[in-house]
Amino acid sequence: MRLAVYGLWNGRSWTIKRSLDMRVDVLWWVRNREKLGRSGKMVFPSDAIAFSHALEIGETFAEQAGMGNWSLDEWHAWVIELLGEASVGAGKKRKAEVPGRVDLSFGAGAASLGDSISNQNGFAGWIWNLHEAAPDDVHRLLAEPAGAGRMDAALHTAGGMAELDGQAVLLNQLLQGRSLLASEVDALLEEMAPWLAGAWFSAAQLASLQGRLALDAGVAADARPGERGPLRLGRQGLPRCRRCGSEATGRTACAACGRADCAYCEACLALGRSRACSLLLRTAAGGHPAVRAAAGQSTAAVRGRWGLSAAQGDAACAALGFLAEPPRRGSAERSGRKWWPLAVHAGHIQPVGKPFAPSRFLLWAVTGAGKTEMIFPLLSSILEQGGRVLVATPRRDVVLELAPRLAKAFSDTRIVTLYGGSTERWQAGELTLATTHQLMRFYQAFDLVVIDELDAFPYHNDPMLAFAAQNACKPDGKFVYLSATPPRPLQREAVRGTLQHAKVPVRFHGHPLPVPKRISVKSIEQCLRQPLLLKRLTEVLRQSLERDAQVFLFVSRIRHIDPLVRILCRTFDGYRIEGTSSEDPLRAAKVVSFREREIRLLVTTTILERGVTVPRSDVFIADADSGLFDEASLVQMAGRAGRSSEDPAGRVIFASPQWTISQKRAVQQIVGMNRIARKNGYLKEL
Amino acid sequence: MHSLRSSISFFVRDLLAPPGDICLTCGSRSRLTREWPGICERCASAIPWIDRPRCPYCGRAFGCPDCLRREAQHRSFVLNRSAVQYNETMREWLAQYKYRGHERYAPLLIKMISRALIRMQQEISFQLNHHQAGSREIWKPHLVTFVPVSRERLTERGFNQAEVLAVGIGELHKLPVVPLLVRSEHTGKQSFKTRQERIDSMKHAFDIEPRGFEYLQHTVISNPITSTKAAKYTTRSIECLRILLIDDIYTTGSTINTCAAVIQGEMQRCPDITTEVYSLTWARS
Repeated sequence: MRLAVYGLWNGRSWTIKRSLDMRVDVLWWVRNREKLGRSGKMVFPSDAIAFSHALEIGETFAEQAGMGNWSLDEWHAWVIELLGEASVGAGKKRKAEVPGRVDLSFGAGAASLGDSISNQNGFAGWIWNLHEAAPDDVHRLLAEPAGAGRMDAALHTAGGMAELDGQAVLLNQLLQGRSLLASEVDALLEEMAPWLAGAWFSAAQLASLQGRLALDAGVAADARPGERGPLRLGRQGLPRCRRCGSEATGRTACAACGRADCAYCEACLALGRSRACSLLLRTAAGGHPAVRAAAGQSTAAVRGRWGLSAAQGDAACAALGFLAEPPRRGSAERSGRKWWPLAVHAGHIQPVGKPFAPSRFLLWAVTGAGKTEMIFPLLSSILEQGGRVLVATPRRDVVLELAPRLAKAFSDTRIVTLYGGSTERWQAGELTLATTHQLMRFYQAFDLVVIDELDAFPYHNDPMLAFAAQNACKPDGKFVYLSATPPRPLQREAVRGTLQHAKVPVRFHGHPLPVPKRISVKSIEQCLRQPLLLKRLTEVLRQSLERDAQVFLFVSRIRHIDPLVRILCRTFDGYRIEGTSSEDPLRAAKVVSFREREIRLLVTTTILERGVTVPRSDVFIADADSGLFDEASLVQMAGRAGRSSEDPAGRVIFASPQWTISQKRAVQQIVGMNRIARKNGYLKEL
Repeated sequence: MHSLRSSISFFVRDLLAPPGDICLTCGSRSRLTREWPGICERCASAIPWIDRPRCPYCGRAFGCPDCLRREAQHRSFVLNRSAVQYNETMREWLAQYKYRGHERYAPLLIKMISRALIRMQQEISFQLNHHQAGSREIWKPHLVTFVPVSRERLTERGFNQAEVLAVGIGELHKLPVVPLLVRSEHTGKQSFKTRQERIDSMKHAFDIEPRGFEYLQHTVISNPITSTKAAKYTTRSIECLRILLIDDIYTTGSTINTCAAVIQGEMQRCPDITTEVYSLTWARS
């Protein structure tokens, strides 16, 4: 989009401001002229210019001698000069105009700069000493109908400004804790306040002048000094998306702002396109500091109220203690991991040296420990104090499954569930349950952010989601991470003591985790060629089938599934054996019939490593030495076994030709958890 | 120190990483094709090209009941050719480009529609040469134009996909791209309408772009841009003006037909020139 820029003199220095609706700024500064001193002055030198140009002019503005006495023409020439420099600087290697097209000076990108700010459609600039009578052009500006997206009514008439005040308050309320692009604001208003939809620019401008709302560009030059290693020296600093934090690599001609090199972000396209000339509105939720949980609840009380086991109760109380702590100064700054949520420096959003940064707590709970139950006391402790809470989880089905349980536990709390295609997209509530991508629509909104399955796709290794999580939490808010298999750097931090954490080393039924056993089998690739080699594996599989267990057989490659299923069908006559993978349209149905014991052996890949609970199951991992199975996924797959209290001792077999470090670490982690559980007396029988 | 170490490790990992790039359309890492910008072999092989159109008028890959309707006899354009069939995958590609605004698709779509133009040229040249034995001329349009979008849609989307395709074609085939039309009113999104609604809403949707026709008058008609070999054209004005009209998708043909009719209507002012409008679209549904 394009917007207006103007200069403001407060008696000491000039500042350059930008405006969505010039009428609002005029009326605002008339109202507040005392703040500008006796000689307050406004200069309106040119028609609307591209948003990105306006930002650049505002940011790189250097006052020049004699500016106070400049005539309108001098101001006009100055703007044109700056625009010329800006476009040359940005587009050195690019063609300034759309190539190949016959230039008729209209349409996208073809408008030349001089043309775009010349006095077309009767534009007239002005200089106005605010304590003198307004020039005619100002009156004309106020009387003329404003462009699309602005408030229709004449603002300077009685009631006009009062109405706008009301709109600004409403807009601010609706956008609290949000980070939304203009198109998203439209969608939100369409639902929440239809009369404002498509006509909120004036109100947004007023809210921004009042300091309640930040109007930014979706993509803008990176303000912070880039952390460049010696090998990246040659790389030019690309502009960054302010919504998702990614580098904006795309640059195209844009009809909305008229630039031939308007940058846009390719990383977060799914939530609407963020570009250098699109408006990003952000409001932090409320000025009041983040809510602390009430300290001093006894473990017994917590356990009794929420029906937790001893191990769950202890961990939940440790987390409650953490929530009751006052915020610590910059605790996040210390960890230097780039991909880690809190190490992503918020840069221009949070000025460096901000006293508070959200602190973190890790709930390291083994598979089947009942993580979800454990977050209930944490949520309730913040909700009871009137705080806002976010639970983010990587998968949509978890959101859908968790929502009714939360609704039951917190019956008098407004709960909003967000996922792609959710109907509650624009609702506000105290408790928000969302898939990770939805975090990008929030800005400093939550007192507590709980991130489930931190190590899982898509959160793992995605700096975009880390950035989003960071922005969604209040600067003095708290993070709680849930994971059965935290990534190694985090494990190390926990061991070193730089990360507060609590371990839940035992499952809810109080039996130890099944420890994987190893059998030596040739690689599946080889076995498929010589099925006799599978004998070792089929022997142990037969034992499991005969003890009436459901059998998971994990393989590393999708292409192994079908041949393996064929061989196994021949070997185990009378048992139903199926295979499934991410490419299987019948996946959901097969999982259901596996759970209902119709299918007895399911050959699958890592897609079923999490979230699937099948009672009385055994787990076999073929090619456990494959590079595709890391420590975390081995522990997760092993965690499918023995989850029900009727059959707590499921079998876990790693079948591989060689023993790898991942397998070793996975076994160590499981054994280690069992040892801690035994030491703390959480186990039922020894 | 940390950054030095991490950048060395990045560098080494980069060297050791498997070859290939991220495919634009399927997102997997593999070796990309040279022919089709940004996509992998697997995606490229799945493109549903229309190599042998069954319907000679609208270029559909299978029999076409629409072209048998009576009103189809009075079309304002000669024929339509499309690069691909509009299947689920192509719908997704177009949606990514047009609605999501993933503009890295543009070079791919341009390359695809350019392939269709080459085939179209071969096909028409073959037909012509068949009728007039002895002539070995390659059929070529005099200029390229495109279906416009409304001002509102243009600022919302930031680009006009038909214009981008047309400009790309113009560059690859050395043809002038002249905007001849503007959208006179906002008709709403075509994809939400039925066939009859589309045809009705189309009637007054387009207007001429006077500056485009002025340019046409001065440059193309009085000095036709053709290769220097065909010197005979440079001295006298052309008798038959061939215009190539570009759009992203051909569904019922009503958009193309209306645009062609508006162009034909305006060309009535030059009675000594016959105008032929050919349509080239990226997809045929």
